[in-house]
Amino acid sequence: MLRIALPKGRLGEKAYKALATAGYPCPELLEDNRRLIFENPGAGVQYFLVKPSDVSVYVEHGAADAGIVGKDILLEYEPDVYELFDLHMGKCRMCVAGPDAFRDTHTRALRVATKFPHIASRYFESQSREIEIIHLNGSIELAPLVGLSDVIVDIVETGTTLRENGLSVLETVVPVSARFIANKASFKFKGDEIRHVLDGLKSCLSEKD
Amino acid sequence: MSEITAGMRADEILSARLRALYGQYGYRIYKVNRFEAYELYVQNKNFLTDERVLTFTDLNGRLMALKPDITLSVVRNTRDEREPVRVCYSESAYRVPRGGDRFQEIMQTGIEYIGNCEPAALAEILLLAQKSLCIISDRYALDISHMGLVQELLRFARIEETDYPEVLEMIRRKDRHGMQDFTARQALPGQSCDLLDLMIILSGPVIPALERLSAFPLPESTLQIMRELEQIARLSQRVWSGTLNLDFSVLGDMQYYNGLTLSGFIDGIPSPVLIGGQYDPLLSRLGRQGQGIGFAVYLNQIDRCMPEMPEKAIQFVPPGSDPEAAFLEAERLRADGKTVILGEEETDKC
Repeated sequence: MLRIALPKGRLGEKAYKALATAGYPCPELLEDNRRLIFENPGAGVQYFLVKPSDVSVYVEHGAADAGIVGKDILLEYEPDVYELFDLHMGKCRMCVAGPDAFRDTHTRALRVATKFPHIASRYFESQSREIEIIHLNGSIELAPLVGLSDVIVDIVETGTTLRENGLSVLETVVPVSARFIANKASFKFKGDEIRHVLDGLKSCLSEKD
Repeated sequence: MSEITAGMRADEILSARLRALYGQYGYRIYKVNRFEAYELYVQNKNFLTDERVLTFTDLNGRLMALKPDITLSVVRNTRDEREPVRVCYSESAYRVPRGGDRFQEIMQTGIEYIGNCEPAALAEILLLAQKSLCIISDRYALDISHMGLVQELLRFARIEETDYPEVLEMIRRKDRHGMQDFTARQALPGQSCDLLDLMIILSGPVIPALERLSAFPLPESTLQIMRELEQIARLSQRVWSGTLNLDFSVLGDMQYYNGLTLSGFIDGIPSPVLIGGQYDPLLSRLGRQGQGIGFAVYLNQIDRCMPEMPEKAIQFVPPGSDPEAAFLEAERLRADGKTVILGEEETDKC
């Protein structure tokens, strides 16, 4: 039985549909209920629904053999897992954004509000820019509006939230999309099953393209 | 694992069995001090999985560290011994595990071989690694790689040395799409792209895997390493039939490792339980000539793959009105192999 961790929400549903088409259906998963574990013994699969940022934790610690997770989470937490496939789903960008009129004068440390302190630190470090990280857990766009930070580092999908709050993208840090990951030990002992899922996903997604 | 009933923990039993195995191959027990001068780790921080180290100031004012790693101490402290040095140890290391946020005491048992790393010596190391894993469980997998070979292949693929960290990280993660983006960005020739792609997906028995690599027009220096690797694998497999896989995601730091690298897995344990490699550059950094290789078996998570042992039945002998008779009776029962508590059995008062 292959255990796959899926992120709750839109990306999880989309990824599940691809997995179902690839031969790993578990229709109960799309029903309106609060269950977290879904199993289809016939297809040899068990799904866990978890918080998107926890998918890599479940996989790295071997509670799940594989999972679907955003590249942003992989870059932020650097879990020791195999990153086997880019599903090209949930595409967005990790960006530095700030007030439309913002200009970095380089006269003091840049105050950066973010949910992704590791990505932000590495990015500005690569530019030798001294920063002060303000770690927030949500509504990041508010930070520069109320003077908590100069800029933010966050995920931008369409840019609507930024625009509605008078912010704009200043720089793109890295493009982000969903990845199929696997636990390293599971890959040794369930390698054939994992490759089978991978091949199914690839052919299902390439047909869609 | 019936010995567990004798009151030993699974990790203690396994550690004893591993040391007995290493003893059969001439490895003598080496006891290292729990502390080491902090400077050793500052100078070799890339050798550690995490550079944070628990430190304290000794009474003489010297900054000391609780050992985050055993190999560094063994290499440094066996400097004057006649080679080959064959030592095994069973020690605790204190470090922050990868992805962790606090220090842990990590129990490890391992070997260090410092001497000429000729094929027979390396085959013996592979054999010991496989036998070590087999002592823990027969559901094991041993992956090997070779840092020298990886370096040769990267050179053949025309990768600039400045790009090695990025490329090695992608190989380590089997990040095939990342590598495709990289090769496209660098406009590498088709042959380089194919080789890098193969380095990512290759994971299987050593000899067929090497055959797939030899489809590329590799230079003699690369083929020489591949022949050596094949010889080592064949030799160890003549006496041990377990699967030995070549997988380039098993990588060490190039500053410290230059040859064979090993990573062993046990079904049911999410991370490698055995890690090792040939570390000639480390010897050289510590002012020592020659070659050396070693591996450690991490016993912290071993209980995850062990069957739960039923609790041994305990017999109670109440002292009653004749404590002397009860004392003697309890001792008689213990002599029969029973577990006996001299006293009243506690009953649930609810």
